[in-house]
Formats: sequence, structure tokens, C-alpha cells
Amino acid sequence: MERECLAEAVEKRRKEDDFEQSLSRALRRRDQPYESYIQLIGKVREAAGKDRKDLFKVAEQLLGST
Amino acid sequence: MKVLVVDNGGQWTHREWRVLKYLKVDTKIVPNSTPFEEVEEADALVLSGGSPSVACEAGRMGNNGVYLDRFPGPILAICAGHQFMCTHFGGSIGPAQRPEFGAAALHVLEEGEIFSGLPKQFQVWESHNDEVKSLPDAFQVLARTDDCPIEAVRHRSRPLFGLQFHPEVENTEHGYEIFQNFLKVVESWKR
Repeated sequence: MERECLAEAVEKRRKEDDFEQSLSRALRRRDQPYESYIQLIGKVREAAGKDRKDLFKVAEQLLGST
Repeated sequence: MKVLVVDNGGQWTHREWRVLKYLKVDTKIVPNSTPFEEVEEADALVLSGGSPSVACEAGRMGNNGVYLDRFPGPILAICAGHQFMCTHFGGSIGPAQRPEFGAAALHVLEEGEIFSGLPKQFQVWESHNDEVKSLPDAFQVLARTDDCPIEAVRHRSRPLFGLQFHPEVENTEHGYEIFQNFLKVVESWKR
């Protein structure tokens, strides 16, 4: 489920989206609760580290590494 | 998108409404005695600051507790609203070690959603004698100042956010962006 949501957040990103919006949309489409969003965005942000990398790129890296 | 501003008697409640209007949100100010049935159709709530000392005048916070318990959408609680929210869920408040009135430097510890895209440090406007002393387990700290360790919080599993400072005041840098970030959460998670 997490992988699906990350993939959709990356692949179906809208022009004006930030990553949080895109990920939220992917989770809502699957009727996932806000709590799931918090857990998943937390993982992505942790992977991004303190230098605040582009979260879309971080998500792509996470998808590529699993 | 409809966002109601719950009036807890703060001096800047009208500014909170005005910022939302500026951001093209359907909004109005409602008394904190408004029955839950009349607010539940909104997409989000803003619990305003207030004059009551939440520590000893919690009764003047009206139905804020009902809203926090039953409202399913995002809530942004400001100043007294933030203090009430933290105590409502099991935290504690008390007199601030150093009351803050005026400009203060906010240190963002974690972006959360509220501080997304903002600098790690920026000026905010404060006006409080009391402060949150202990946080409920369900919440985490997002920001602090040098004088107040709990300046911004979020719930770990619900879209509830609390700010001790006043984002609606012009002297708060990035105040509009904070509201915009909150509205992004509303847009993403409204029913």
C-alpha cells in the first residue's frame, strides 16, 4: 500500500502540487486515514534528511531502493 | 472550502477571519458557544486566541472541547485555542517562565505541514502570559522560541495544529504562508 501510494504521488503529480498534496491525494483515493499520511510522510521526510531534499526525488529513490 | 473561525474573545480574531478571506476561503466568525451541529459541516475550524486565562477560566472557552472531540476535519488552534487544545487532550499549562509580548524569534524544529517551505527561523508575534507546560502524548512539538519551548504542535494522527504565536498579525513573518499551508491540509483532507 505504501509503495503504491508513493508511486502514485510521484507519477500522478499535478503541476501545482507539492509532495504533501500529491501524497495526500494518493492516500485519500485509497480511503486511507490522515494517520497513514503522517506515518508515510514521516518516512519520506526522514529519508530526505536535514538538507530538505526535493521530496519527489526522495520518494523516487525510496521506490527504486525497495 | 469553508473554514469557520471560532471566536474565543481574542483581540485578533477578526484578523484571522480577514486572512482567510484574503486567501479566498468561505469563512465567518462564530461564537465559541455555537452548537456542534452548526459547525460540523465546515471543512475546517480555526480556534482563535482569547482573553481567558485557560488555566483558570476554561469555562469561557465554550464548546471548544466538543469541537476538538467530534470535528473530523483539520483544526488550527491559536494562542488560547492552542493552550486549551493541549490541556483538553491531557497536557498542562501554567504561567510562562518569561511571558512574551511582541516580536520573538521562532525556531522551527520540524516542518510538519504548517511550516512547509518556510525558513528554520523567523520572527513571530507573541502575546501570552501562560504557556503549555507539558504536552499530551498524542502531540509533538514543531517549534520553540528562546523563552517558550512549546510554540507550535501537531497531533500525531489527526490534522490538529496548535500555535502559541499569532500568524494572523502582520509582524509575524510568513503568517500568510502558515495559513496557506493549513489550507493545503484542509484541501487534501476535507470530506
